[in-house]
Amino acid sequence: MHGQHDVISPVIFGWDPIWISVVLFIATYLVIISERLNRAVAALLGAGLMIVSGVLTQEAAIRGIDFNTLGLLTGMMVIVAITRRCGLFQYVAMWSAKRVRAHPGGLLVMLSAITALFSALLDNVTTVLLIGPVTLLITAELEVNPYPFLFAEIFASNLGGTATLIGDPPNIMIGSAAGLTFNDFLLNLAPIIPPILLITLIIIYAIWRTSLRAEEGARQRIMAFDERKAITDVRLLKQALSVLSLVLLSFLFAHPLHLEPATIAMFGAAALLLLDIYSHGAQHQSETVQRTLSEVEWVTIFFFVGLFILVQGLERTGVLEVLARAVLSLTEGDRSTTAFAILWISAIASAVVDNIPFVATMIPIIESMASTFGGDAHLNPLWWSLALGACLGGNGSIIGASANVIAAGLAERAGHPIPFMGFLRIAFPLMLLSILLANIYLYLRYFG
Amino acid sequence: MKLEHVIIATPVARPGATVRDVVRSCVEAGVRAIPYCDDQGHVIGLCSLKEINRLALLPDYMVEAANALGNNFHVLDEAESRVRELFDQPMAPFVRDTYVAIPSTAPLMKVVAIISKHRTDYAFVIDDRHYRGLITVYSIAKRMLEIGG
Repeated sequence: MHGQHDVISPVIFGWDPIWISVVLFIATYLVIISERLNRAVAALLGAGLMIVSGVLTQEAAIRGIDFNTLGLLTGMMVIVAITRRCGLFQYVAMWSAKRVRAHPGGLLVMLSAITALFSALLDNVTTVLLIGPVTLLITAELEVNPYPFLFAEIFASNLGGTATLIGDPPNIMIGSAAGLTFNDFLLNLAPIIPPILLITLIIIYAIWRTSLRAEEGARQRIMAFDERKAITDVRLLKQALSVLSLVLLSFLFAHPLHLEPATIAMFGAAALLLLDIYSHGAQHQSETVQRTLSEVEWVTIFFFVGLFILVQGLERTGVLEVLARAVLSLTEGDRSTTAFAILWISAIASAVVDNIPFVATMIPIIESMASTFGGDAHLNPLWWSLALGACLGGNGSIIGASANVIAAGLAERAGHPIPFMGFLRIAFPLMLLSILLANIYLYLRYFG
Repeated sequence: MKLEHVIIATPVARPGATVRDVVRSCVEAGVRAIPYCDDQGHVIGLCSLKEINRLALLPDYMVEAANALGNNFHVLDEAESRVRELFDQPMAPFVRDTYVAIPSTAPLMKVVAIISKHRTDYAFVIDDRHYRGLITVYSIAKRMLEIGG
């Protein structure tokens, strides 16, 4: 993906390609942050200008696109789009509510735990999108304030997403660029997630414990509900769970199988599509496939395409190498200082801006540090720092991650708006605490 | 088949109409939607029972988590008790500004094609921004039965 140095085509008006690439990148970034223009359109326009201005040839731009990331994202989106139709999320949410006898405190822990688990195994945005409404329903029935539950779920979704290669888009990008496997993420990131989640939940419970009470009658109504009624299609549920299990197993054994994550995800998506349509006629097949593929978040996919090209422009003009040297000079070439700097800067940045473009920019910067630290193998702690910082940093504000925005929208439409400053006041310190714990973990595991 | 045979005459909603007015008009005319017209009688929007249900009657989360709704949940009773309150609200916030419209000169099969393309059950018949009536898949089917049945 990176490090291509073929001849740059003539740059428009003879301008300096370095400055053009920097101006285009910053301008696109500002437009994305302003949220006045759809982010995919902004990124694609910026990418187009990189080519039109002559900073990149079309061939170089295409080489900058990480198709492994796109394939993995798209494949998992298809699998999730089909799986969500069978009512699995609602079933598990109601089942978990009954396991704790609909006690609000236990419910907070259970819903957070399943949100973290689903976020790790599927994706965190879909998880919040599907667990959120059931949470609002259960809390309305219990007549308790839904805010602490949604707050905990936001944290759980971003924490769960951090634990695996497929949980959060930044991890997919990092894994693909650095050649890190599903197991690498599981072994290096997952161990720190349960402790952080536990401490976060204890604090959330302590803050809202007085409001976590429900009347016995309300709890009995939840207990009387048959969660199996939430399953809308048993056949589809079995198919989806079978394919999902095989996909996850394949991720675990990807290395001996010599398979890339994108191949596994896309093959799994194709298999599930086949199971979903094979017994139907041509028209039904066509409609079902169209409906499923329309549920893929194409805006995100094209956003990635634009970003990869923009970053490729910066990389080919040598800007990212200059930035990497600047970072190394600040950290005096010390690997642990560099890792911790990446962790904290990523976290603060991700609380304010979209972590996807941030990670896209950081990847080639970290890659170019390989020679300083003695080769690619020595970069791993830096990748873990970037993943932890970018994913956990999203918890810092209500706009820090897509899952947060989704939860805020659900809450607002239910008549319980999440205030920006109110969320920030509690979430930002909690996010900093999670980064501190991550820092301690990184130190003990890789530098101690 | 002439279009006039399948057009259903319905009242229209005007600025100031309440949700109750619209629901009553739809029920009395036996249709799912009526147009929203300005003071000059120009159609400027669509009032549909589906939109009232979707936007006003139930919160989003109840629709999203519909299969997880227990039959004895009190949120269902609460929603039912909010109906009177909802009916007193003005219709304007629930009016949709996109709708399917066809002129009264259109051939019936073109209407069927347009309705099918937009995956809807009805279309407004509008000439020069003035409402003439509503065509529904039911009114078309009824007429077809009269001819072919």
